[in-house]
Amino acid sequence: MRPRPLGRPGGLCICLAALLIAVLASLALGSRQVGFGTSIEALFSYDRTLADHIVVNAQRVPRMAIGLLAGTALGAAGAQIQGVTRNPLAGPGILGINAGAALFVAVGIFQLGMESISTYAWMGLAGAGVTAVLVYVIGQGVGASPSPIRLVLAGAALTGLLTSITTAILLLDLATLDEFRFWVVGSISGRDADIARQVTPFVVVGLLLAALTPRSLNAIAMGDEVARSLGVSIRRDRALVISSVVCLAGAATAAAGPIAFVGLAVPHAARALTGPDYRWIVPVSAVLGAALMLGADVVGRFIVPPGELQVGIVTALVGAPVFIAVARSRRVVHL
Amino acid sequence: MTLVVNTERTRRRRRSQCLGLTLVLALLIAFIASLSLGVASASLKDLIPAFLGNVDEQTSFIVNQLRLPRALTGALIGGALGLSGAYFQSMVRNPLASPDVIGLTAGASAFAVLAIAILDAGMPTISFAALVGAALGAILVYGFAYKRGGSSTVRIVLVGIGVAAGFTALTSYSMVRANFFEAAVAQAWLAGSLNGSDWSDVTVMAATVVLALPLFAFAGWRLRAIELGDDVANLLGVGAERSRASIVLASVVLAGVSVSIAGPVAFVAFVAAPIARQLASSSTALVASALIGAILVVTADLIGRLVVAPNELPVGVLTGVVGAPYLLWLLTRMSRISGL
Repeated sequence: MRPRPLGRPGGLCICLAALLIAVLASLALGSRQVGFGTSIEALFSYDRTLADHIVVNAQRVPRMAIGLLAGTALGAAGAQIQGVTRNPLAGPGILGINAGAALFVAVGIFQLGMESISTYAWMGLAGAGVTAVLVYVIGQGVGASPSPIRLVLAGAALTGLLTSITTAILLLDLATLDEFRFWVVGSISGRDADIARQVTPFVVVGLLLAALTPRSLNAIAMGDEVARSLGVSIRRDRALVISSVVCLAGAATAAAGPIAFVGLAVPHAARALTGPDYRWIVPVSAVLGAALMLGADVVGRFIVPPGELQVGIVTALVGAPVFIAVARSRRVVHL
Repeated sequence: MTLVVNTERTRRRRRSQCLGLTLVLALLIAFIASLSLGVASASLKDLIPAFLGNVDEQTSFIVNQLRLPRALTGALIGGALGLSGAYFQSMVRNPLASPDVIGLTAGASAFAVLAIAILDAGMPTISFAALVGAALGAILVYGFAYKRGGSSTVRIVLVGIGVAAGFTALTSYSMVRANFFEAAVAQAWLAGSLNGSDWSDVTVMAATVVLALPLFAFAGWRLRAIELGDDVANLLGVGAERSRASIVLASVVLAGVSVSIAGPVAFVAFVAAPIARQLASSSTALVASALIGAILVVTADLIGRLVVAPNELPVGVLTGVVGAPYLLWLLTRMSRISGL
């Protein structure tokens, strides 16, 4: 492999620096300019008489926390799912997570008249979990050797089925559509700190599980037969990886809505940066995912003044050109 | 040894002939059912006289002007999507692939929704915008994936993800920016519908199929070689780049025109080929994919017309509901998956 100018630790450091800048920008910038110094002050010596401090603490900190959690989760989940399916077109959505969350939220609005973002979060989490378990069970097959193709096909088929039902609901009830279209874009604004607190345990568990799997992902990358001969228990490790992906992506979708691009594209960019070793791809994807999410959120605050552009739109608009440039560079590593 | 190989070959040929016949029969049944069933049902024995013009005016109008063109358009679109999906999955060597990989549907959807939300456009303009968007998406993907020395499937897939994401962002933006009524119209278009298909749609679609088939035929012979990878294909004397370009071009024409006529009929291009592969136990089952696509769309449209009559559910909603459970059932039943 071609040696890289900074090496992998250097690459990770650059990503971390980018993330740090994104975190600070997310606290300081917006329609009310606070300044970096004041926003750090607001964190560590909070003064409730200052308007700037209130803005930072009440609005920007939860928003930043949700962006950080969701971005990290989506990046790590995407890297793992691409590794375990060995499919460059697979994102966390291939487990039916986005489609399941969308259906549950649509049903929640249509049948139960829900209209607050925090109830959407619970519906989304439930939908993501139920669907992912279904996909996993069908993808295992009965008495057959588990194959990534079966998993991927099961996920895509179930996604198609659930999306159809969601579309039917939206067409039959326009009031639901009018609520749903704002959720489905994906956004991290207007959520309070409770949502961040609710999804944090899922993200933490997901990341802990993710820390266990990179070695097996490296073995699986060489094919199931090779992995088995290297002593990897494919069934067990695939279950581990998928549990991690469900926790991470389910939490992200619950908090921010279905954002497909981060989980799909960031792992490819990370792979181009680090090479094929999943011990590096997963953490770099997590950091890059968070940086992209927060950076896009900040950009979205300025693109269409006085309004804001949802982070789900901006991640793709800002990320796509960069991603295409990465894909065109010679560094792309085959999966 | 030769004997064994020959018996195996005969068995396979029998099997695929049998499958082909079954599928043609199924398509025929779905087709006839969709001519006869509906809010006003025309009995089977009325159908032939209706073609010949020997029935009352109303039945003749319903059968000849409403249902026949609609069923034909559906069958042609389904066949086109099934076929281009099968080609793409083989070319990219990925069971998740479809013409969507080259940004076709994303481009068409973005332009159509922009036309609805920003320009307040009506039907012919929306179709035209969709066609332009489909072509633009494909051109962007192939163009960005092309470098000195040609394109590569890996680059096509990755660039496709990026371009599709960009277009999807545009669609979401328009959906959020649109007012309530525009959002409803856009959502209806995005679902994909055959409602209002007439004979001019049939003509356009049939002409497109005639135009695209030679390109597919050109690539079809070479598909097996491309599946082995560019290097092997080039060694075997099969121009990988030329074959890939003709597959992309043919799919753009077929799927692009389909999406401009009916909107993005979801799921057909993805699901037809995996079902065909499981049934035919072969990695390339092109004819079977086309037939399954046609059956799926005609059946889904029929169910969509019947299930909430006198209202309609658009065909794109039902393709998922009809196609997905069948593929899932096949997946749980098959002990071995015919992959790519």
